[in-house]
Amino acid sequence: MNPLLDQFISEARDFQQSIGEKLMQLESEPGSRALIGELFRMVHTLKGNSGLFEFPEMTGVLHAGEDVLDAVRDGRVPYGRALADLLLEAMDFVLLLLDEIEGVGSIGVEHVASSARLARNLRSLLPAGADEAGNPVDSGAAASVGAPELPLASMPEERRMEWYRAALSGDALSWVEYAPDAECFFKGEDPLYQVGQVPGVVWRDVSARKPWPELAELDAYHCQLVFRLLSTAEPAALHELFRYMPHETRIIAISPLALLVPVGDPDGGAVYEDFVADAIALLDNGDLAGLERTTRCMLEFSAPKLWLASALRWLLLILELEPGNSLVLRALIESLRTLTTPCWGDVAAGRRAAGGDGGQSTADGAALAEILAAQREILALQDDVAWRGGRLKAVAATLAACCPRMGGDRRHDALEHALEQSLAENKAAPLLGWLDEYGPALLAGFTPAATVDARSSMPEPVGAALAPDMPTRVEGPEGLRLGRRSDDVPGTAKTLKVDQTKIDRLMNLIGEMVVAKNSLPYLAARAESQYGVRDLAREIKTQYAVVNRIAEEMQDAIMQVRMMPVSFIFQRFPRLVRDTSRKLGKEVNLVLEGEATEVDKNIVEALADPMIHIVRNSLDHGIELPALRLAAGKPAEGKLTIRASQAADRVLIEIIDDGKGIDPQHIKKKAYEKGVIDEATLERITDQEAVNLIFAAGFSTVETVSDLSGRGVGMDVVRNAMEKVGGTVSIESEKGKGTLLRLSLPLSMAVSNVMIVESDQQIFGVPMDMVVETVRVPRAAIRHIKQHQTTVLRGSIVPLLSLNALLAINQEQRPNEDDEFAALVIRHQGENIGIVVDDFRETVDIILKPLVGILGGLAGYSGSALLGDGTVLMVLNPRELT
Amino acid sequence: MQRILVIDDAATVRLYHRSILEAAGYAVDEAINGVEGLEKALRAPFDLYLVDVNMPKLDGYGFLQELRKTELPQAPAIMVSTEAARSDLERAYVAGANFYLIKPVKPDALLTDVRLLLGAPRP
Repeated sequence: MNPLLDQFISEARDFQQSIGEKLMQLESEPGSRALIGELFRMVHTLKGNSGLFEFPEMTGVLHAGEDVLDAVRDGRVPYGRALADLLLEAMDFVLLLLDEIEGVGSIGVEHVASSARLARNLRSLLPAGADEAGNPVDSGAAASVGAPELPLASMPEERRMEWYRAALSGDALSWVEYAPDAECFFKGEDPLYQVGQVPGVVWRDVSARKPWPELAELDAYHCQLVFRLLSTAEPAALHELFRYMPHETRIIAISPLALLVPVGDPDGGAVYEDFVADAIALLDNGDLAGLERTTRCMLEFSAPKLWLASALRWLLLILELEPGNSLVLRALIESLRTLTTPCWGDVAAGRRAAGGDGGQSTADGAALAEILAAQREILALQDDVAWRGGRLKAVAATLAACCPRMGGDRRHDALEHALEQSLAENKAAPLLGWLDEYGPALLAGFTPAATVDARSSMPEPVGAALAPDMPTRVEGPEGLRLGRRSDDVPGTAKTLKVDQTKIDRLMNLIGEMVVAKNSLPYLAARAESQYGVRDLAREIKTQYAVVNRIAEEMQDAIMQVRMMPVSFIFQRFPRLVRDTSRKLGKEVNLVLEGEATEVDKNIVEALADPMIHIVRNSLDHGIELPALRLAAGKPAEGKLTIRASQAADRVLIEIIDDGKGIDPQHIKKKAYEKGVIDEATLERITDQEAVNLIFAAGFSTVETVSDLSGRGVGMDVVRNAMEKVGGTVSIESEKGKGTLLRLSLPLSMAVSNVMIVESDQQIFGVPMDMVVETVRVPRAAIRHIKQHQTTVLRGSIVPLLSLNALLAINQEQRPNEDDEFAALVIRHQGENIGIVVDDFRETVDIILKPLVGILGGLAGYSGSALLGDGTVLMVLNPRELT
Repeated sequence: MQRILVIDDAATVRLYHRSILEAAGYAVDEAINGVEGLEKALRAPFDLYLVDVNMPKLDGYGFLQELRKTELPQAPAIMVSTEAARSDLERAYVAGANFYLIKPVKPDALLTDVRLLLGAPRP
């Protein structure tokens, strides 16, 4: 992928998202003109961007959206739900296309139909008559040298030669393509009359845009025609004539070279190498008379129908009209080798290069004509605005720039004089006068004939013309001298968009750095104990302290980079809640709070799916239908609050609805029926405990899988997802009043604090957030209840499990010298469990890397980490082990 | 080296214009809206301005009006617009544009016009 496409996709995603958000905002403040304006601007820009690439499916939909929003902005179309739905659908479609472009680099053909449908639906909202669809031709402003799409080659050669002759004598030549609007007859337009008005027509043609339908199906009131004309009139006059139908017309300035297309039978043998060699030699020697003789001779021997003969006729014409144009002559002669038309675009470019800095091609001539016409138009403006003086100066600067060769000559002085006069009188007339006087000459300087003259009368070698010969510019030289200063200006962007993988890489690197730095204390210890160099050991330790501080700060800084606001997930909820509640026939007011709360990006990512699940649950099962709510004495519109807040080093997400709440009795009954709890538990558990049962595996109170929240997954999935990132989920609910779900997560999960324990001469890590306490249990304090070992800690019975047994190591745990066992008390599903190990070691901060590949299946481990001395620490996942 | 200021709120379009103009040998600076464009022009005027129409804060018309009010050397300005409608063109001219190009701008057309207005790139 190229950088431009990358940039496009990244920017388009931003736009797509912002447009979605703005549409949602409009729901809450309909009729906001500022929002509509903003929306229009964004869709417009996105459409413009997509136009830089070949993505007609995307551009088409966006164009329709832009037209509709434009109409809304002007008050021609009211903003309503149907329109919002369509726009949202269109933006979803754009996202789909973006994904596809990013994935496979192009848009599949299967989207053509949806694109057309979306565009049609959008446009159907426009008032009749404003429909711009069906105007395939655009108004092209650029003059093209080659214009390969124009059917010039099919026109008679004699006519083309005639026009070529006329073009060299200064006539403009334009291609006009006019496809009237299908509904034009109803708009009071008369295409035939319009075409009849075109001045200087030298050729014209009218045809159907697509094959005529059967007579029975033909709608005579629909205009199906396209007119094609060649005109020698000034382009400005043509633009003027068609100014009310810019979308229906295409006016292209034709370079004379585009006419120079030999046609004919390419057969008849291509053994012309001798002729080509002779002709090139004659050309190089400047023997144009000889070249003409040879060419005529060759032409007599050739059948007139051959391609060769056609090329020779053109050669003679060029020899007659522009004998100095050796580039074209050479290209034409060389084309005889291949019998294909030379690529005139390249030739023109070559001529421009050889011609020096002026840009002498006819394409430039056409562009110059347009620029001069534009200046004339600006000067003709009759207003009197405060910046008129500046505008006049700018016109003068533009005119001066257009004749770079004239140095300090008469025209330049006259221009400066005209500007002074214009400024003094506050009138454009003096500058207009200058344009009238010198404009035509300026244009003539760009016709090929004049080029030839200029060059043949110029004795200096071509290289001399290349020396830049810029005149004193009207705005003075300061503008040029200050050139490079802008390079020193600090960058415009205040925020930097960085590829996520780059941050991940930084993260990994700092992780390794932390580990590498931890090896320094080991080194110091060895220096002292093994080599007895105590001074060196102390120096290493000092240095370690420095490196340690820097590494920690660096780690902190990188962590900060990874922090992102929870609004990143929150922003998808307005749309989700809107769509879901509408589907369910419920009315819900969503309130978002604390969107600016920042958390680590991994946490943000881990939050998204559980939150969506919870919100769907709330909408599906929590908030009642409007009628039920009214019956229960509540407002018809339910309220769903999503709130984020930070408490110490944890972030809390609360999802609160004012729905029907959870009935503990119902839960108890269901849980018992499903075998989640036994009869004894059923009698014993409190209401709160009953509500917590919804987190139990395999529990779902809804019998049928619903389209929305069901899908066979219950709240246990949410709980598991939370636990995976070190978070917890809790619920509070009151029947009839509503439900509150609280997710609590660490702010960052990149660094974990683990305790190292030893068992069977191996070391393992245990996450500190699970460790309740560490105790030494004397052998005598261990009781055996059936098969299980237990002990009593602070008055309650704690089951003891041997780590060796959990890991299937066939080895007894070793007690210490006092015959005490080391027991790590962890909290598991609300109960304390003692895990017996051989010994405790220190706690360390590690960067936990999850196990991947085959090892990923080992549920008993949450990951691995490298220790300072290079050993690998396996970190246990006691939840899965016990 | 001739300096061109590209003013457009769309980063994609800025990159597009910048790459075309820089490849041809011109020095290019960017601004994301009219306000930033004016700030940059006031710091060091440019030889040519390539201005988008629709922008937040200060749009292309506003930028040109403000630019033409200043005492800066008045350099040519090309307005880049997707709207070929006549009324918009006139508005651009009134505001102080010297020429217009229709989006998406073809590289050849852009370079032809820039070369005419600035001459061939100089080191």
